[in-house]
Amino acid sequence: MSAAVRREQIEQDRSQAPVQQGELWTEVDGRRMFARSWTTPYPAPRVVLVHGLVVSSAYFVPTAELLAADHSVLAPDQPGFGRSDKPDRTLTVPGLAGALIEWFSAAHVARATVVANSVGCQVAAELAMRRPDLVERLVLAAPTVEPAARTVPRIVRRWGQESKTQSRELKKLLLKDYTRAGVPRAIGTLKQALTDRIEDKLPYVTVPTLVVRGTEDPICTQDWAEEVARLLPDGGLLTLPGVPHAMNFDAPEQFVDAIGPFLRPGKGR
Amino acid sequence: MAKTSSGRASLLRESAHSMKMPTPPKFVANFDSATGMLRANANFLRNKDFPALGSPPLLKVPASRANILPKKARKGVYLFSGWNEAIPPKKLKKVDPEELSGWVTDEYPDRQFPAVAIGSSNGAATHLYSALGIPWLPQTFLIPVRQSVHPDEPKEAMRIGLEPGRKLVERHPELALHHMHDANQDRIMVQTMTYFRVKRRRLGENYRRFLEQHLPPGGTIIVTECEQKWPVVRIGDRHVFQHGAVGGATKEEFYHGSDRVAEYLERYDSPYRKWDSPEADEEVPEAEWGFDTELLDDIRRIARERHYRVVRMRFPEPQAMSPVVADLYRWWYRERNIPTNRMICESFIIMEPYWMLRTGSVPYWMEFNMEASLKSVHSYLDKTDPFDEIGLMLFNHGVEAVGLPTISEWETVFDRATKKGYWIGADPKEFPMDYAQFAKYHTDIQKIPSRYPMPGPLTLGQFEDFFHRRSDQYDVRLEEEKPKLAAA
Amino acid sequence: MASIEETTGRERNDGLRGAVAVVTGASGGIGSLTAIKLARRGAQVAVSSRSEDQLKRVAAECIQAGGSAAVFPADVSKPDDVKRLAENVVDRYGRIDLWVNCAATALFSHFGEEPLSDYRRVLETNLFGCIHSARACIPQFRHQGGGTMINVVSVHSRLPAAYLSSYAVANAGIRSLAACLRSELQDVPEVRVCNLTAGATDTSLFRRAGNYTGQRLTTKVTVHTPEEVAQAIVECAENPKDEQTVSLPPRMALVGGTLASRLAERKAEKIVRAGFFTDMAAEPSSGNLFEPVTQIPRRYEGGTPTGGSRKVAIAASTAGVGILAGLLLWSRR
Repeated sequence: MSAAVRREQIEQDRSQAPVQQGELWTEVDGRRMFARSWTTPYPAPRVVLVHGLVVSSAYFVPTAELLAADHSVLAPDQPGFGRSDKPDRTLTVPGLAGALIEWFSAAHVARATVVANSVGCQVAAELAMRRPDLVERLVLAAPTVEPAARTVPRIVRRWGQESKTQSRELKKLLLKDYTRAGVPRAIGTLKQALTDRIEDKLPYVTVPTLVVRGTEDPICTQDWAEEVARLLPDGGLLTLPGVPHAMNFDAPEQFVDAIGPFLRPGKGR
Repeated sequence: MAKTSSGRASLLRESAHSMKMPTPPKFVANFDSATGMLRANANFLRNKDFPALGSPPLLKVPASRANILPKKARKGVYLFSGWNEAIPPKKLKKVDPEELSGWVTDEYPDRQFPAVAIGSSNGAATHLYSALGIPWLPQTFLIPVRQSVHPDEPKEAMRIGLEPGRKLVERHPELALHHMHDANQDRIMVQTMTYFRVKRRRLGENYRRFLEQHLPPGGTIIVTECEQKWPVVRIGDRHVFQHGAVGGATKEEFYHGSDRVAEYLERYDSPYRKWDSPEADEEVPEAEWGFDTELLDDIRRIARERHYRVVRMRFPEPQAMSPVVADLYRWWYRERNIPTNRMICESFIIMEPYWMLRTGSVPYWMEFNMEASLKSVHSYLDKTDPFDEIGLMLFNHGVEAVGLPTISEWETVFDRATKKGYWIGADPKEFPMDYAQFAKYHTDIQKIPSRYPMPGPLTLGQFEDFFHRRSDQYDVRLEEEKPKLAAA
Repeated sequence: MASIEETTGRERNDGLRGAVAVVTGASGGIGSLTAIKLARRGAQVAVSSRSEDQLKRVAAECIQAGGSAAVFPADVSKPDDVKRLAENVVDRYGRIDLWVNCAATALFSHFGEEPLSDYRRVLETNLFGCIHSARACIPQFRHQGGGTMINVVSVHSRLPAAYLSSYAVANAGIRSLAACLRSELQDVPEVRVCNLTAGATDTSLFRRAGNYTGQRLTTKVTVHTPEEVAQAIVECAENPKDEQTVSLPPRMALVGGTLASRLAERKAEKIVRAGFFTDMAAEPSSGNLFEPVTQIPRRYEGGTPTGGSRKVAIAASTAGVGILAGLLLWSRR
């Protein structure tokens, strides 16, 4: 079933037995965490969406809506971002993963497939390495940060290139999220993302993992995506033509179509 | 961290104070094994030496002249410096273990390490960390608390410490308190303060964050576990009182007295002939050196999550590590084709990891300056190939305590050298009140003419190979924990 | 009680008096004269080479000159020999203050026509000789906190030498080795590694050389007498300078070789041919490469030691070449 067909179906279904879209508030480490949720009226496999740097779960909504047709989807705002409370000091990548682990139990998620984008992949990799029991399968969409790009000028240059691939809607959304997080936290998190060495962790991520890269992505290069897949003990790589870095917002149909078979390994296309 | 300096600058010693040093919280003692060894190792990892026990350079000049003062005045200065370090009991409220561990982790350079050591303070192990180029996170810290008590009334010292101690452990569930009173070696100090030694039983946020950021998955946590025990009075679940300490007098002598003790007390004009000691009811890890195994739970948990190896390095008493490390350095020099045959005996926190390697000297660390240390040096020399040269740097604590060897007894060590023995920065006739030693050991050691390039670090594999080839010779066990399969 | 410093303490201001000096290649040529001159300055000289008999003769001369000397036979191409040499000297004298590398051999051939083992042998003696020496004495210098190593290098360390490439390659290596070591040894300013560059010297080096050219060889033109070079070594030992030349001609040659490397390449073939080759035939021979040759081949025509006026002429001509080369280079730009 293609995404376009599915979207039509979603519109149709909404009128009949609609997917319930809601909000989930939990408390982690004494701070409130916000998550968007899409609950199916029938039991469905769980998916947790992990957003990238400085943005929030908002940019996952298009992907979430598509996935919600046959998944129960949760998209938390990580501490310090979106509508979640802000910790006093910027959390490190392992710190964000630690909060996410706590959030899993607070949200009563025993196990889920995790889909992450950009810097969210760093958090998700740390999570899957530390708690393979929580992660069913893992999708790393446009993982960061390539060791070769781990300096501020280089990453800023790549971001500049990336911003040209962004849709106007995404830019609007990003602006809102950036403002909400604040400049110091944005810089602090960037620094953390640049010090985090995802390549050290990937060999210990044992859950089945799919790396997805769009060919229009200047941040996550093809070489790096291949390297990530190679470092994973159980990893595969999908390259999507014409797709940018924030594929979950700007190319949700292609993205969901591509990861569909991986999310439901039992069922054929 | 990339070395940006030119070749010359990176080869040459940088002054330890050339850049801003992190400052420890006010409540922790500067003049202690944990802080001293931490700084010695952290300085080394920053390619720096360890002048004047890490104290500010301004103090160095007056300290090197300390011996001009008459003995009484010197004692006064020593006493004042201790009193000045101690905090009033009501300020115990301000003790923040995370502030402390935050300072520890700030001392280390910002880079990835192949291993991180956690646990007991140990001078020989400090040289091991330097050789491996790895940081060490101390478990135990000293909080000196001001109080006025007669040194020979340990019962009274215990009583005064009960309430502040109880509050401290209540506030900090991650700590165990070993209240300690040593009227032998620390006679001067205990007149104005009492020693609260706290041991971490949890990693806490800062140690945990340090591991997450600086020890990549696949790295090793070395748990340095000194199994030294001492009789204590149990006060609470995480609160004990320890009378005495490792070194000169024995456990028995502290709790029940002896002729030596009576003589000593008479010499110091004490109204007592034995200490007024409470009865001990159990033996627990010694306050300063011993490892509290409660911390292992947290270490195992983070190791399981982040795929670390855990290697437990266990030894029955502090000096058991010294022969291992001395032999390791000797082996390492031989491997590097360095024709050196010089041993330098260090004592307590008078140590110099940087200059040991630059001068190609074998470090032999002694826990203090007492009989047990002297014996340990001799027994090491009995078993090893002779050294051409032996240098000696002794800590001076100001008390002619029970079990303190005389200077001529110390000089018997020099007779073991085939060519010559010498003091480093010491004025032996002033021992044990040669406070100038604190400022002079570091400049005097540089008078050794030998200079070798600073080697790259040994790998953990090299050390483990070295150790396992000859582990039967040592009283040290190096055991890798079997990884537990089940996740939390 | 001993003091810390006196590990190796020799008063540094006392010139060479009492200094412990090792001279390799001391059985003849520059090496033997250097040993004798050092002995005359009061040094304790350890003379070393492959031939013990010759060394004994040199040692006797050293003692006659008023110094002390001891014989330590060693083949510098063998690392263990050199290591033992250093150890024996330290055992005997307690230290090493000066190490002079004079041991050298040479090989003439059209490149590729010589047995590879001969080619390798030249590198082993000349270049590895210095490397082994450095490996033996630098740790000792570091231990003492000071010491000087002097390499005697040829102008062919920078100028090409046709039919002598093994020799030139080795010399270029030695020059570079010293520079690298100096760079590494900046943390011990009292440890010095010096190159002393000499031009063609009137010794039997080339007459004893391996020869696969088919032509008998001689040394027609020399710039220095061995005494001059030995004197320069002693001066360098007293007042070490990183890079030194024996006199002006080799300095000009170095400058010229650097400024006009193309010109030097073009001319080197003719210069070597004119300087060394005779018309007489010669059987292939490995000369003294593998075994010391005690019977020094007789000098052939044109090989008489150059007199004073000749020297000036050579100096002037070498200088001229250098300046000319410099001008050429300028005009080309």
